[in-house]
Amino acid sequence: MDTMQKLKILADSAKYDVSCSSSGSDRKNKNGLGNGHVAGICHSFSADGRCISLLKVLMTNICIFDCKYCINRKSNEVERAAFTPLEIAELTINFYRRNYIEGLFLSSGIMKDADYTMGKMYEAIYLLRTKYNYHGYIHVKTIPGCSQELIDKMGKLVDRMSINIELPSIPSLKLLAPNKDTDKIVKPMNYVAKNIEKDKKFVRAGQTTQMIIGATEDSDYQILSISQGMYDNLKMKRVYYSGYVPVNPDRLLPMVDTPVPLRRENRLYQADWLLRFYNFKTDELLSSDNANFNYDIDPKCNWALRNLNQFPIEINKADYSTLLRIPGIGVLSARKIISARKHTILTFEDLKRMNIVMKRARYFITCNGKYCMDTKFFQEQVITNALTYHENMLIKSSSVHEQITLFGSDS
Amino acid sequence: MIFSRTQDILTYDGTIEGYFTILYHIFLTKRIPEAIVVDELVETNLFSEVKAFATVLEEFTVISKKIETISEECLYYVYTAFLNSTKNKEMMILKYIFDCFKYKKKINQMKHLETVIAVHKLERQVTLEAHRLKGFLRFQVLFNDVLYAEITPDHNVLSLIIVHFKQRFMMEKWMIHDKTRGIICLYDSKNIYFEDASNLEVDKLINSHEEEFYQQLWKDYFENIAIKERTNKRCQLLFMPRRYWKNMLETKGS
Repeated sequence: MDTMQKLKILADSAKYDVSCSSSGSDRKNKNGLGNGHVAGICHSFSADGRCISLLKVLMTNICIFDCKYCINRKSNEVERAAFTPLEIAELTINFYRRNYIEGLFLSSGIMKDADYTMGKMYEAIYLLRTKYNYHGYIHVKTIPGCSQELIDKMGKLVDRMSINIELPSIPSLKLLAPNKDTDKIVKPMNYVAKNIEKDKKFVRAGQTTQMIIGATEDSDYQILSISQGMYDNLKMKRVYYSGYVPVNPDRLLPMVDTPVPLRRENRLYQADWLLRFYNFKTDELLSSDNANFNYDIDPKCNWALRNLNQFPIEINKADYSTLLRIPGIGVLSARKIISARKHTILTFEDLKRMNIVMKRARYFITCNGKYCMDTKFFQEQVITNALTYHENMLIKSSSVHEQITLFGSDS
Repeated sequence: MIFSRTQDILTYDGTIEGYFTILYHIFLTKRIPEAIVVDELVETNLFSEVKAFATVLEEFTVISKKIETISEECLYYVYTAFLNSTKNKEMMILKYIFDCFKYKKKINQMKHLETVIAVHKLERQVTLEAHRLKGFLRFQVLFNDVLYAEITPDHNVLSLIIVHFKQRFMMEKWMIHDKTRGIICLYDSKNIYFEDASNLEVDKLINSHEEEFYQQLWKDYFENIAIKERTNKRCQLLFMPRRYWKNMLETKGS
């Protein structure tokens, strides 16, 4: 089989992994090829609107596992292929030199056993770092169950490591991925986290993970609680959510023509953002009685509407963390406000001129004591109606999440 | 300092040195012009007097140092905003510089001032395009193993992106050709040179024998990596505006 065919098969299988980020690495070029870019760089955007930053391929799509949701499960009759470590290295170098990519994302199906597979991946990466003197970004997907020794060796060479948690709860995992036991996922995550703490150069861009959304009954509350645990306890850089694309017919899974749950995925990303940059906790956003996000209103607005007693917030007085709680006010806007109000008393007109998006924010703030409409309209129902109107207009225009942000795609 | 407004149109050669030469005269004569434009672009009208200025390096240095005494940040904003191609940027930056002298160091905190908003926006457009091109630029490998890329940026970002490519491809030899401005940047794995590219015969460049193979691989990869069930062209265009497509291998001609 020639390289072109192999790439087709092995890129096709890898595309369901959503992580594309190339940020967080400050690796320097030492008289060789490539370096890290802390904010990450998107090199292209595919027809689905996702950023292409890394050459995302599998070492092989041969797999001894039979996970029901996976296109490469053992029992599926798909064309199988495998790259040699040398082929991976040459492909990466040749794409990188032409500036097609920011680096390599290497994952794999499991051949023989975990260590054998991970060993092959290590060979490819070792070649890149030594023979080719390559200092660009490398993200490697750890194979569950591989030895700690291999993780140690790998962690010294790569910028990012990830182990996919795949399904949001243990019962789901048992049902759909009987070969993967949770210990094999959580234990190495813990191990990597400890190593990172000890050595700044070990997996310097941190570890990430991914959950599949919509293949099981798990609620948004369950999902987000797991994410919170990952951020708090494992210092995870990022949790990715992948709306399930039905690839296999199975009575335990959604039907093959079920649409991908894009809006749900979008809401989860928004909420995830709130956990990481806005100091929110899962329990503020959801509860066991209110376990799923409202699709018509974004999570921050939703929270604000349920906590109207904390609003309206005076733009000229509130501290930074309070400003961040205002729907529509992001990190950049909050910083601009703090900076400008040292020199002036801000009005609604000022905020507009400063390009602060007021669509949502206006209902939750006062500027020097003034509200945007008669204060008798400061009521949950009135604001909800106004917001859902805007939100529906927004959804018509796009379903954009993550990708570029103004302060780097990750950090 | 009392400045008087005039109907004058001042012209210069389009370089930052030329622009600062004009600023020097504005501060010297205390006369604010109606407009500052590049020599070739000047349009005369009945009421204005057109005065052409030749670049004087000493005067450039004086202004540069003056702005720097306020803060390096101010100088950074002026330089970067100047790379923007927006019409009338010269007057926008001039007004900002006036405010820099008025408010001193704290100027860039004053995010509500018209002049600051305008210049920060110019700067933002430039740095955004420079950042995008770090990703969207495509090299082709020539027969002698030199990397060659063409760009047609809206703003004059070539000087901003080469630092990045120098670090990334420090052992390579490469050329980046700004076709809009007719400039080419050459790197010989040690130093960077800028040259006039108007005589460069692009059609005569010969690719390495492997080039077509890798180009095809990349195009196939690009097609394959999209998940059909999630097609979202609007989102694609939002992040990768159409104007960049013609120089990108995977989107050329589509």
